[in-house]
Amino acid sequence: MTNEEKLQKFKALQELINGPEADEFLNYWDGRFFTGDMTFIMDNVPFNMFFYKGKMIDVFIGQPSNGYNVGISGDAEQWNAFFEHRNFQLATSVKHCDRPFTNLGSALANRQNNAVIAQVARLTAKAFCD
Amino acid sequence: MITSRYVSVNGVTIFVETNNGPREEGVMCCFGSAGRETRQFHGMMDALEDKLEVIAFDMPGHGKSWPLEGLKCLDTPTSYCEFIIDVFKELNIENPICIGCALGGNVCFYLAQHYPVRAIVSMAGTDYSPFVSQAVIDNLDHPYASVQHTHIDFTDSLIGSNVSKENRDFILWGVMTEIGRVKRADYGGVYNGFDVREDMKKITCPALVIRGADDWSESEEMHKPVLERLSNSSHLEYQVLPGISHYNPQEDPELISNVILKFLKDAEA
Repeated sequence: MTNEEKLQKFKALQELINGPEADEFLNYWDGRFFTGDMTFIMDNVPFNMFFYKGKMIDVFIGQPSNGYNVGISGDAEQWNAFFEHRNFQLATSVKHCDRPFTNLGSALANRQNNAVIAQVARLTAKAFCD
Repeated sequence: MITSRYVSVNGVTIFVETNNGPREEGVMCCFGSAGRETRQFHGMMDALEDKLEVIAFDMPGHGKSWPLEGLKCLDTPTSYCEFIIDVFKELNIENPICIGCALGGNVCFYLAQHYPVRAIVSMAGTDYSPFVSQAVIDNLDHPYASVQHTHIDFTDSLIGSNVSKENRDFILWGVMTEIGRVKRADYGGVYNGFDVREDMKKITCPALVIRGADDWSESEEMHKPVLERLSNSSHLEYQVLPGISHYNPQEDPELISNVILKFLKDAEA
């Protein structure tokens, strides 16, 4: 998949998060509290999403202008493994996963937003694979 | 019927629950997962009320028990487990069947090494668990991070595929009512520092090790060396239960109760 094709998948993710998945994302996974950048790096290419109170406003290829806020980074093998099992906690556990994703931003920011990032990652899997 | 009372142990007021089951058939003592409290075992207490007396108590700072002086919790494996032994003595509990889940599953191994027990049942437990990263530990009791929110996806990921909505919801309610300071002591201190591998050969009582097949945090491979180190157990069983994961006593209390009763019957035949 080219980077442009991946970007189209992220735009499909935007439709999902702002559409049929919005209620669960905002109200169960606490997405309503999330404002700012969330970046998923796939094979060294950063896909940056900007949210305002849980609504995904924009997605583009590139680093956020103020540096990484929260997110994860992995290569194709890591993302494919995640797309298969869709267990964010396993994919980020340095003690249980041979090749965990790398966190972007501070440990505290990622911890604070753990549930939100996990749900965006799962919906990314849905947008890419289902 | 479940009833409760308070007892003083080493100067700390401790909340104790019992199902008032027949003590002459044995006393089963239950130990919960990191940060949780006695209600994890209510389902099993009900299921076993005609079979055994089932007792659960909140460790200092958990649930309805008072914290230690200075608003602290027990945060080392030895201090945590020795406190349990002190509770046994206070409650005149002899030869208990010790069962536990996750952190409580670990604790059972220590107890069987240091106190006369009738049998142990370790669910999602291990004798060595340095599994928590420092980045997670540091933020469990951070003023800017609420464990009730930061840990919810972790808990959700550890509930089995066959668990009823009612049981799933109450497991999630468990994390929603956790205290950051308690969680940090339990998970970052007691669980992450737990290592009783050296003394596993001292365990001679019957031992049942249960793994939920959906539990990604306690893999089959992680249990193999634990089972090997239980080589002196008089009756060792290992069961992998499909459809459940990490919070066994809450996920399917009736199934777990029946599995344990059968294990005791076989072990003591």
